[in-house]
Amino acid sequence: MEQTTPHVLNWVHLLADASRSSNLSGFLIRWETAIFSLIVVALISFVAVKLAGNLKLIPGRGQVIAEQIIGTLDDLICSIMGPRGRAYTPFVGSLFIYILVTNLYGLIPLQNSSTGYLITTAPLAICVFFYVQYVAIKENGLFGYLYHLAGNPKSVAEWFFVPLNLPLHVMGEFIKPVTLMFRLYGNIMAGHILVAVFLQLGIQVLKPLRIPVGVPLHLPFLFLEVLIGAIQAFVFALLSTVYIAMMLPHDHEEAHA
Amino acid sequence: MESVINSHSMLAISLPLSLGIAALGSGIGLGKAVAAAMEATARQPEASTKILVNMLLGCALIEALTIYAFVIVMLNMGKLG
Repeated sequence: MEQTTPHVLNWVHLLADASRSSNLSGFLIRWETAIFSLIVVALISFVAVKLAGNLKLIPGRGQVIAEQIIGTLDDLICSIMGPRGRAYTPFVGSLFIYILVTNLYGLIPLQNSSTGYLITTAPLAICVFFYVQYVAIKENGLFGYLYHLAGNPKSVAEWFFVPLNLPLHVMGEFIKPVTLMFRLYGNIMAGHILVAVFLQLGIQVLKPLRIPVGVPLHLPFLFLEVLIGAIQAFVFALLSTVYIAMMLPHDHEEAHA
Repeated sequence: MESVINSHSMLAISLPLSLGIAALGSGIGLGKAVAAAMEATARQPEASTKILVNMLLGCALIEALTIYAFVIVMLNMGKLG
């Protein structure tokens, strides 16, 4: 398969090149992101099942680490949404862990991260979209949900602006998942291309010497990728939390709209 | 000979340029946000996690503007052929 953008080689592509003439090649190319996605899902599930299988009162090393991670996530979400945020920790935490592990998994040599493709990030964002709408309808009721979308009008003047507010809010709801998915996709894809370009540069530099090694020019960018992968996973989870919090009825404080 | 300035070449120039201009604005905004957050962290190191969370949130919303431009570029990329 010809790709116009530079990309880092991964084992699926290698396997597809090796079996060029058979049916396997097309299958591998078509399901590349799904394969890497499933590997990450299997990895997370394996660790989770293994840790949850033998919970002890006096925890071992793995259990302490897992509890630390979950506790930190829970604290973060509760700091944004208050004590009722605990109900949304499983959803947002799953998103965070999946995206973080996927991003970091792509940095292992011969592996790729599926978040660098729209086909993975779009379903994640659509999940967030539907979950936010579901939570909003469940917490506000259908009428309260529509009232919220109309901008919580109270006085006559505010009711006058409802025809203006309603389309804006509805449009905003649809733009949110679009920005979510393009932010993650753009950052990870750009990182892949950056690493690939510098890999090629490092190989090109030593080409006149005719030795099968290159200068690892891409190493600093790998560290940058670790940072960006963690930050983007964090931002995705944080924004999901904020989107849920924005749709919840806030009767105790009217200051933030 | 065909004219050099046609809709095709204009698109080829303006698509990357639009993304660049959008990124310029976002860059200024991000710079200001991060600078303010750094100042706040230096003044009150004990509130650093709260400041970091709020800063990242603001950064994400600023970044979204560049992403809008990126979406437009991606949508029109097909016309370049």
